[in-house]
Amino acid sequence: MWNYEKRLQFPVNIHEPNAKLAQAIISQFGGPDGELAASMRYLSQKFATPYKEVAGLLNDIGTEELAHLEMVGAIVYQLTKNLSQEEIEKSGFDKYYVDHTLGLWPQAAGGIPFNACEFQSKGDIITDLFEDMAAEQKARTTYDNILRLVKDCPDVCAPIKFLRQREIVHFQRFGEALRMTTEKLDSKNFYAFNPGFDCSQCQKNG
Amino acid sequence: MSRCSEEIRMLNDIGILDFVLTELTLFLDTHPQEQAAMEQFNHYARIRDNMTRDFSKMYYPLTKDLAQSTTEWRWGGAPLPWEGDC
Amino acid sequence: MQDYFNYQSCQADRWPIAMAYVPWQHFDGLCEDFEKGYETGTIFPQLDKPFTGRRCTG
Repeated sequence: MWNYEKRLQFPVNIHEPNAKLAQAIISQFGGPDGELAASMRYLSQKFATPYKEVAGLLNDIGTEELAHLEMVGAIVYQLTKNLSQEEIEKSGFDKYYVDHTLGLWPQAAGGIPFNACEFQSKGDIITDLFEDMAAEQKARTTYDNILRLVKDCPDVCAPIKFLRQREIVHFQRFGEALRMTTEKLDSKNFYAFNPGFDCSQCQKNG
Repeated sequence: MSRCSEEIRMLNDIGILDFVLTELTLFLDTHPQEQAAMEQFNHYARIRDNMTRDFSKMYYPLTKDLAQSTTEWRWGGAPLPWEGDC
Repeated sequence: MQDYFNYQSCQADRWPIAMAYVPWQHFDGLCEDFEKGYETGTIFPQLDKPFTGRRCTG
């Protein structure tokens, strides 16, 4: 289960509002490669994972992604909370504001609402780990793209750089989980069966 | 609501230590026999635990189990993390 | 072992194909300054891979 600790994993202290940046960064809140997608992906996949250590890792990384979701939410909130009416109207942020005011609503920068089609939980541990490694790279690329936009805002840069580096560490861990998985399978054919499904069936049928 | 720099410094130190534990946790999840990493984890977990308790007594509870209260509900009175220091 | 397209072959090329492999991280110790590691986003110096890209055209 989850307990809440009343602090952010990494501080977010943004003093200057910036609607344009907020519109881009919201993609890491509710976009296809964002932190909500990441946390839901790993916390969904964990259930049918056949190996305890891999399930544990999915749970731990999924938990960290929830903390990242909170950080990104804090970034977007602080970038928009002191916007003037004029800034809202001139920046293009009016399209989001009309439906949500300054509320955080999980969507991509382009407007697509968060949905479960943005991740897969395939029930096959090899497939799921490749999905996870790809997800971490996609998130890293998105943060690279954000960093190019964040030119003169060290307040925004600092948490974004932190979040980007976490993606690289997570990629390494999922890669190691894949090594742990392949080491438990027959190297002559890793794909002979699905260890999360077929083993139990074999036992049932004797 | 302005917060004193000592409070912010202590919260930052807890953040740093907790991050060390998070990094070591993920590393140990995939290297469950790495003793050197376990020793580091055990060492910093003790320090972080003490710092969290001290902070919660001096300023506000960081977790609800440290929210012992008498006249005012301290958990609810704690600052919201997403508001920032400002 | 034959090199294809001038790619240097290495030990990993002897491993079973139709799979991808991420090398294991070895425990080489933590960064000296935890505050710096925190700001970077990792306490493992080997994993510190900062972004330095900028768009250039022409």
